[in-house]
Amino acid sequence: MSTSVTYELHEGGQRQLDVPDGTSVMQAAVSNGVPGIVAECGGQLMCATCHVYVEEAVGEVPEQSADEIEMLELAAAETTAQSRLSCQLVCGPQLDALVVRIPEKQV
Amino acid sequence: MSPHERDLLGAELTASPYEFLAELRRNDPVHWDEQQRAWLFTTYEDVAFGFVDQKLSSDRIRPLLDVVTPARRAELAPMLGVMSDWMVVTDPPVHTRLRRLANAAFRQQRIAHMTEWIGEIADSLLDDFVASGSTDFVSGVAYPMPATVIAKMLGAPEADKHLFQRWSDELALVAFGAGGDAREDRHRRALAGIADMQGYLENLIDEVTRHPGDDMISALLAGSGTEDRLTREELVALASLILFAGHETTTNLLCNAVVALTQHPDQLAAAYADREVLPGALEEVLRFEGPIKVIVRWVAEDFERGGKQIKAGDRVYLLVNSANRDEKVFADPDRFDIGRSGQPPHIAFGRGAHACLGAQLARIEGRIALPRILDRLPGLRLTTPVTWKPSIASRAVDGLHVDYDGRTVPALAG
Repeated sequence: MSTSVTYELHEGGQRQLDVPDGTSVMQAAVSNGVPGIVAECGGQLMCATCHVYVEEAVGEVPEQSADEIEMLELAAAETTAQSRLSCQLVCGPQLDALVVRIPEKQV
Repeated sequence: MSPHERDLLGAELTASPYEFLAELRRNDPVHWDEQQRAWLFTTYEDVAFGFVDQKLSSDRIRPLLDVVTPARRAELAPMLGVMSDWMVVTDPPVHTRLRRLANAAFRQQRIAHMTEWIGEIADSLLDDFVASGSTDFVSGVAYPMPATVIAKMLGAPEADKHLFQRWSDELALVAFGAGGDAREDRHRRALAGIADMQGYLENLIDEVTRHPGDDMISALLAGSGTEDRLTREELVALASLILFAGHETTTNLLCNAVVALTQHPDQLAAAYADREVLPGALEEVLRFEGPIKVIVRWVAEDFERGGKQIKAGDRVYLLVNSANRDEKVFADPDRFDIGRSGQPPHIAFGRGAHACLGAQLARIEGRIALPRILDRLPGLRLTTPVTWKPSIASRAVDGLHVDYDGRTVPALAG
């Protein structure tokens, strides 16, 4: 099973991927060359360089932990109520579709 | 010697490695260096691969012990024994556990909230630097700032930070493969440094155990709320790694930023005109002249790369400084341009499981230091030509002396 994830690129345009259960929005982006998600730490919740804004969700988005909220304080671009670290957005059967916007900078 | 064989520790490549690296990327991107007995990975793609692929192991101390003579092994073992516990040289699952505990302790420090006191440290150092009229930027600013920050984070008394430099210098000789001194002398000094540092940290751990605080050692002692805690040995190893890694590289980042900016007057002028450019400038320094040149890995399993057969047991040097100048990734890569976009990103902090634990702390320190340095030191300029230290891993200046407008020239002693 998979989640349809649309990445709205900062420079304009978008990429759509079918992300399998258990794969994060970050991992899918990095493996498929979607620009603008750096993910220096590879998903350890230590770098805040995989920041995205969740624009739309169909289904249940994984909950945000206290650690993620903490780390978002280090994000380079402005953070909003929509901000998430995409390494924590792990796709699963509860999440049908997701639209994320990539910020102007990650560092 | 073939035209392609040049000494990574020699004077020529220490001063200016970049042309040679470009030549390798063009002609032999996966290159066997006979002198180093290591494969040099020179492209961004290959270095990025090297950081994350499981066929490359970070367990690079034990294999070293395996290939040397028994006599040499006996000599190296006490020193390398400590370093072999450093998580930086371990693989999953050992690494995963240590890194998870270290990550939690670092996150608990809440570095995003440290900007005020880090700013106070920088201001105070610059106050003293300006008042003294000193030109010694390393002693005055670049060394003490990160050392003070990491000491405070570890819960060490600030007054002890002068000890850290000596130990780190000794360790760096071995850990960073610095050239120059005779190998035996280097190892003896490193061993003494490690013994002193271990003793100090054991005392600090005892002190913190009696009086826990909000420092990292207290956090590591408490564990992350699960049953998993570090043993005493693991804690000493982790604390010593953080101490060592926590300032040498940041000192070099600050120095390299001053060098890059003063060597490119138009960029320096742009920074003086508008402090907003400085975060981008810091990233460009990390790309153009980052503090780490090489990261070492050992090959766990045979594979083919760049048309070469890489064998289990071979050593690989990930040339971060070459990846960061890869013309296939960065337009006009040898141009220092503080306005360069952050995309594609540099690889100065590595990638994946071993990506620099302190990367965000280093960025915060740099972003706090640089504007203050410019504010307090107008017309900043170097007074002596830059010389780089011979080292496999480190891009470090051999001292840095600066002048600036209005410097109070110190009175000469009677």
